[in-house]
Amino acid sequence: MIYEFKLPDVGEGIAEGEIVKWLVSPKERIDEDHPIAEIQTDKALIEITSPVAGTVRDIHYQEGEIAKVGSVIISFNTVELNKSLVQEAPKNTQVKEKITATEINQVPNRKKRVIATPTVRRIARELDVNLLLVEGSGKNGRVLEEDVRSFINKKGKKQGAKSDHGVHLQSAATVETTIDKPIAPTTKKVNSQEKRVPLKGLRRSIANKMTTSTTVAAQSTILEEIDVTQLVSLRKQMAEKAKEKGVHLTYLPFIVKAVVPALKKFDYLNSSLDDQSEEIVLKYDYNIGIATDTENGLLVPVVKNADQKSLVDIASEISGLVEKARSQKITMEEISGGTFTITNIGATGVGIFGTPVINHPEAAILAIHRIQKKPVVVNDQIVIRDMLGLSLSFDHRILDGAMASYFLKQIIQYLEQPNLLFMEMV
Amino acid sequence: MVVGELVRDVEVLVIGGGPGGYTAAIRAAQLGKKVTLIEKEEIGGVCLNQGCIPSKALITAGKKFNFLQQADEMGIEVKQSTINFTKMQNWKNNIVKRLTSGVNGLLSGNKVEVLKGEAFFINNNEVRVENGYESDRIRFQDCIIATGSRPVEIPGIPFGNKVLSSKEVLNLKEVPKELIILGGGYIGIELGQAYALLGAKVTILEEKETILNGFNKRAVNLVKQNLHRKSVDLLTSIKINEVTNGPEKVHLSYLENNEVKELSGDYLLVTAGRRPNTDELSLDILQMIVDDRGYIAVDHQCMTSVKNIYAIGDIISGPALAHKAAYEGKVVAEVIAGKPSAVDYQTIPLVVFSDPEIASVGLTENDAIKEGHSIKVGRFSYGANGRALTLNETEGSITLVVEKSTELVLGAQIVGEEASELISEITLAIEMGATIYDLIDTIHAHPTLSEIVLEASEAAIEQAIHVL
Repeated sequence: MIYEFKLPDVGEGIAEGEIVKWLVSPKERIDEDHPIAEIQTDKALIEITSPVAGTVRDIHYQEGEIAKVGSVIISFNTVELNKSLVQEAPKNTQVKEKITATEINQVPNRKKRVIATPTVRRIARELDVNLLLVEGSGKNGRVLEEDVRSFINKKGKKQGAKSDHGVHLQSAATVETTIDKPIAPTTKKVNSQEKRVPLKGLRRSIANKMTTSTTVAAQSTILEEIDVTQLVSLRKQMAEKAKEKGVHLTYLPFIVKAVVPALKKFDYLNSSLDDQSEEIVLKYDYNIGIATDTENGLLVPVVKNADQKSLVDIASEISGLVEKARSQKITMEEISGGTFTITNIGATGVGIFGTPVINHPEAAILAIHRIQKKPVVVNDQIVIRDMLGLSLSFDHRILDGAMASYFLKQIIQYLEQPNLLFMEMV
Repeated sequence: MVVGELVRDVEVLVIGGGPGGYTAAIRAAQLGKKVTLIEKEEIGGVCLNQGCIPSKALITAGKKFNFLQQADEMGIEVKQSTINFTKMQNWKNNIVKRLTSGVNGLLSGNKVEVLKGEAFFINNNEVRVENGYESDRIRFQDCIIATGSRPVEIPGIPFGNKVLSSKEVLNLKEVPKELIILGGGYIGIELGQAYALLGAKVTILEEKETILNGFNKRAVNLVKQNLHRKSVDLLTSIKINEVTNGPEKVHLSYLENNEVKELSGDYLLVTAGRRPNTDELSLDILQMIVDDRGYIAVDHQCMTSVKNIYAIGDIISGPALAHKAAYEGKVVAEVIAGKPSAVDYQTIPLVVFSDPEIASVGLTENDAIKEGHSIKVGRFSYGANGRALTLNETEGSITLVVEKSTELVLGAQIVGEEASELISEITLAIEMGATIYDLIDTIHAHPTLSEIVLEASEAAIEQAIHVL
């Protein structure tokens, strides 16, 4: 029997996935539960396994291609298959003397006729297009070469179109200073001066989302340098206590804690624009995405309901999520449902400010940069203070510069006078 | 057993050097593979050595000889034409030699290594090749089985002495006085008619109601008419009782209308079909899936149930035809070379070199209706074609089957001079998905037989110029 494996629904709202890597090859014999492919969805890299034992008959998508949920991505010859082959065979096994015109017409592949010239059929095979799925634009539904080619382009375009209206696109947050880590460079050398790396997997996912974000949202960025001298000493004190609890307390949880009350005050910053219904969706869940650099590219794990969690809880949750993201063990659930994103690029030690790209369809993204000791003027005295750069990008379609400034000012207030945060404690 | 057998490694091993095997070998070599081909007899297989080619030589000779008998009408007065059968056989054998040496040249030119011997599988990657006292082991990455088929023996009538298969009947020393043929399929008809034209008294026995079963009546009747003209006796719906083989003659008793009748002749040619040569390859060791009649199960790329072994031609399902085998051979070679080839044809043309020739492609009227097509039919006769008249070949017709709604060409049956050549245009039309207007709007050279295709096309829309 031929077992056709359809791309399963691997998580909430996933309509398609990219075949990043085949873990089997045609003709390979595999057991049940053998890993067959790595699939990159909008959100995560997933390994899928075979529900049957058998021989790989056909691989219907090439690495890098997008498959819809429910489409056949691979087929297997299971043990019974061969029986069906045998059953079929005798029908056509007329001895030479008895071949008739009728029998000749019953050669395989005539079951459903696609009107297409041999050249077009050959091109379809080369492009791995199933002609039965192609709508022919010619007379009587004749499939032309351009139909086959546009069928492939359409498949590619749909991916982009989907991103336009996606709700949970999580891995799109970054700033220009993010260092790209090319994935698995192939060796196709064009000349000695350049190397071509196929855009696939998470990289492609990021590329699409960045394009969507920058083409759809009207992005504007506010930059401000703030004095975090108090925060630095406070964190230092608290870090020691946290360490006793086994938690590494970074600045990030303080930022999260400062952002949440600001979002509560300025709900348009915790919203998204529904382009289709032309409505601004204000959200009252405070799910803060933490942009995380991983080997394969950017991922955004989400601290859910940050307003209901303590500083230490947030700290330990962030370190847990980041670790999982880096070791590719993060689940769909953990990278879904964000409402606002923070990207911390201070650790790179480079960049006073940046222009972070909004994690579409969120309304804003806050980048925090490195803390540096700087001479600043306080009460007409030049003193040394710990200074932090903040960059807030917001979607100007949803809110204006004034609101963004007030929002940022609110955050600055909490970070410059962290004792105020106690007032927000739950 | 030879001690210290040498195991040789090859990339692609082809077993069988017939039209399927040698085509596969050459294509694989063209695509950069290192190919070894094993043939136990002669390169070219049955087709070149014992089938298509030598039989066509004798059939043509028969027709030319027959022409001389009737050339008087054209003003060619031949005092006396006689047959030197030894010379004719030499001519035929030279054709075969020229073609097989040509194929040998192509193989060596493409650096295909040719080994003589019989191959048996040892495991999924190795065969043993036996040739007399020698035995070689060859380890392959991919293997193509192209071992073809052989004539079926009827139980109780083994080949030998006066009972001939299609192979021996081509190599007779002289034209038999009386030739009996058992089997009115196309091989029986082709060979029977050839010998009748060469002067033999031929009797054709067929257990079915008609000869050329499956071909349309119009075509069969024309062939029957010509058989009758040459005094060929056609005995249908008979049953063979007993055959006495030799020593001087072959004697037959058979049942016709429940009456026992007797017949004797110089030879009895038995054409009862062909069987696949898959029984002596040790396929059971591979646990390859083979049906109970010996046909190997394959997928759309001719891959067998053993992943690196492919099978093509007469040993898989479908008609046992050289052109099908060659097509499959190319597909398999390309698949092995990593190309996305597949068996992907709409139709296989079938040609019978009877007198007149019959050719068929695609759907017949009946088949089309059975498959649920609403059809129209265009037909045109040779008798209204100028070139047919100048060839003095006025018998025959072309029937085109066209789907009514789409006007797609679904099939054609041709009976008449050069039907075997004319069928190609319609085969191409079917593969291209051509409509009847594609044929109509194509200029056909005048004066040629191909104009019959044009007129038949126009007849399908009732606009043939030369029909009232």
